[in-house]
Amino acid sequence: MGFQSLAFLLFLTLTETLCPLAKNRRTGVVLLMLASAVFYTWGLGEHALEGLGILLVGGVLTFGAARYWLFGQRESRRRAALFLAAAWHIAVLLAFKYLGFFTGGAVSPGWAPLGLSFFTFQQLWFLKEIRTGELPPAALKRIDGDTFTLFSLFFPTVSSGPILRPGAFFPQAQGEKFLRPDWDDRAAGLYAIAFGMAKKVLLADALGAVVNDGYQHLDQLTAPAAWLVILGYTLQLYFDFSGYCDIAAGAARLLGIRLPANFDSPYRSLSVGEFWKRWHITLTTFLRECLYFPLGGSRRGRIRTYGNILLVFLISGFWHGAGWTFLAWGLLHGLAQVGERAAGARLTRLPAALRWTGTFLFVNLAWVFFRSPSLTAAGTVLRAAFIGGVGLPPWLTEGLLSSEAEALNVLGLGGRAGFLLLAAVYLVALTAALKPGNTIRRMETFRPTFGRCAVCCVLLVWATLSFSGVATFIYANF
Amino acid sequence: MNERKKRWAVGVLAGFLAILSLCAGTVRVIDPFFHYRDPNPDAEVWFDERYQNAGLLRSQSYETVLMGTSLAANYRPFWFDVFYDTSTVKVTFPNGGFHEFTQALDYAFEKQNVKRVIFGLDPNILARPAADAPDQLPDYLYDDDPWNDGRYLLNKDVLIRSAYTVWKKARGQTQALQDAFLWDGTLYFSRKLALASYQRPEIAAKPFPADAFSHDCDENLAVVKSWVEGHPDTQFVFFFSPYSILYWDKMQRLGETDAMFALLRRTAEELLPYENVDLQCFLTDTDVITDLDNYADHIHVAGRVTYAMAQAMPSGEYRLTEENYRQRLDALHEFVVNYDYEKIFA
Repeated sequence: MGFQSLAFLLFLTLTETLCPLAKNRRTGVVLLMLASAVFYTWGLGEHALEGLGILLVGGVLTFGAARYWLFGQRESRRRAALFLAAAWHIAVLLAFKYLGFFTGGAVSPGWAPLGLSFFTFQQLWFLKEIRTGELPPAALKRIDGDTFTLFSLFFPTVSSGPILRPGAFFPQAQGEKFLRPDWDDRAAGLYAIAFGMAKKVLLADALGAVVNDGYQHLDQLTAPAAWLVILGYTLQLYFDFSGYCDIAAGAARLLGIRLPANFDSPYRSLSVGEFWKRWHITLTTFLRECLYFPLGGSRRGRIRTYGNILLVFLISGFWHGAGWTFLAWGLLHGLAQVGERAAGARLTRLPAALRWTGTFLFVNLAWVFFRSPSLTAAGTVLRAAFIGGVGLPPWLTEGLLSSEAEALNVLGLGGRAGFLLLAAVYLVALTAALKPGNTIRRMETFRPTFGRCAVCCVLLVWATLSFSGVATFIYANF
Repeated sequence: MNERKKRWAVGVLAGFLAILSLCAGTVRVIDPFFHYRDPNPDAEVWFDERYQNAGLLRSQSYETVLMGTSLAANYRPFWFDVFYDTSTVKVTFPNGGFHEFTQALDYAFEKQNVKRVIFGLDPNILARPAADAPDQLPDYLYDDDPWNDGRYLLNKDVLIRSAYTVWKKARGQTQALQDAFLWDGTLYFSRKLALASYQRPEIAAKPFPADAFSHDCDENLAVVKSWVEGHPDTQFVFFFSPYSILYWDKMQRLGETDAMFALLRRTAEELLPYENVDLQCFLTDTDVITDLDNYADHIHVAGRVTYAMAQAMPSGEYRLTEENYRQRLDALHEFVVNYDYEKIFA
């Protein structure tokens, strides 16, 4: 089930109403677990049940390994159990998402369970924290099978994260506020859902129309059009994924669970290193703790540190997609961070405006590889950006808030509505992406005024009325 | 703070539900796509075939369905009422795909006892890969399931079109049902305009193989045959619209003539064995297709020609049979292959 649907609003209303009515925590957990299973399987077609089955099998293996870790006799076997569970998760991920890439398309299942990448990392994080003792045996003992299944399938996070470390979920699921939200939680939840919906439905999808137009007319891209397409995708991806995370945070908060922040105004960053502390924070944290540190981090000399950074970002690129474009994107970010490390303090002495411009430009250009269907297409976009012709082609605004554009044209704009809306959408999107503060922070601190109430109502209504023509979340593909 | 947050949260929910109800109520009352009401036969605002035809199929009383792409849009339903002594509803989709036609036909058969389907079978859409065909009909309008009506009532596009409908009606800018979706009144048909709209392609290096369209044609014909076989008591009148000589100039220059004739023969071979199929070929009327004053571009033909075609349908003058189709198509092939196209552009 997608967040951006009437079915989800109905599902959310029923879940948020029924689960808190449970007489005890255990019943509540079971109800929420069932609701999460319904969410996962609803409307996802022929492989939905198989996908759920694969996730459940993985969850059972993780939980079984965790119990064996607690009660097994021999240390070597206890370690082996955790290792085998981790190996299973990696093997399943490789089989579903990368077999086609490694076999040149000769062998491929042709589908993958929804959210498999996020699920796999979450399970690996759980196993790793057991192994390192960050999740101590006493805390592990308190985790029952139902709560663990809920951790694995929790509907706000199951399709696209945020990736939950054990400490971000289990203490809350065992706490007093779980399924007992107060009005602060409800207000925060509604605030996040309203702005998340608006980000996704009104901004990301509008920008996506411009981006898609550009990629469908690669041979006709002028330089201004190419830059609008590049900037459009930069903003689209941010509003798409951060909008999803806002809705997830809001839905979880209505159940008394606080999700970790996944975005912290990343496009305000002054370096690529800082960007990765603000963009997809839970993935960066996972890769740092579960890959970079075990590889030695920065403790084994400069060359090894650079190698570790490159490896982490190559894996990050590959996690996002089995293709050379994703590897190129990961490599670019890895190289940029290696460059920043090598430059050291000299970079920080540069004016902040210059550092921001350089970082934002780099991030924009790197996203070209992330979005392009091939390296050739990426080259075409970049070539057009630097040596393309002038002028804005009329096809650039096709599909951009088409109903609104049509209505404005009927009211007398004489066909100019497309470009006026283009300017308005980019202005609003840039302002929202670059201004201080963001939804996740404001949902904790906002003042409950009438104006905010009216804005939230209008955004929610406009987004709801726009559901019929909305694309899926980009990160649901990863 | 808790009390203020409570008031705020309740305010958001109440405001959200109130505004949403207002929007849904507006759509429900104005109903621009006739999902709950019958269209006024004398004065309606027509603007989108894919969305409004569902309402026509649901609300009208008919025995005959006239269906096709934009090439069939200028046939007036009442012509067929007269020529076939029937009651007709016109359901055309510009650049329509076969999945869309199937969806609309299924709905028509569900709603009425359809005795005849008159279908403009464009060679162009027969040659098109199924994957490239539009599939844009709103499912929630082509069924009677009240559970998906939310997608109609809570829909920004419909809300804006509701406002548009009110605006147009207030200005008296309405049309009768018989004139719905006609476009021949807004265009001029002349040799000059037909030539101006036609972009003559470069001559292809080598011709297409004769079976170039076979795979896609077979796939599309399988859909057409499923209609015929699924409704043995319904008569299906398929007709090839009279593409102009400019179309054949294009085919000749692109090297697609033999492939297109293979498609036409294949269509005849596949459809003619059915007793409930009548296949009419207006392509072969060389007087019409060589007179460019009948056209707005290389395929779209004037209302006076469509009227004559509709009138000729019951007579069988243009009917292909298992006995004559080879001879008629071969004659057309000879004509278009040997035609002096340069004199058009001299």
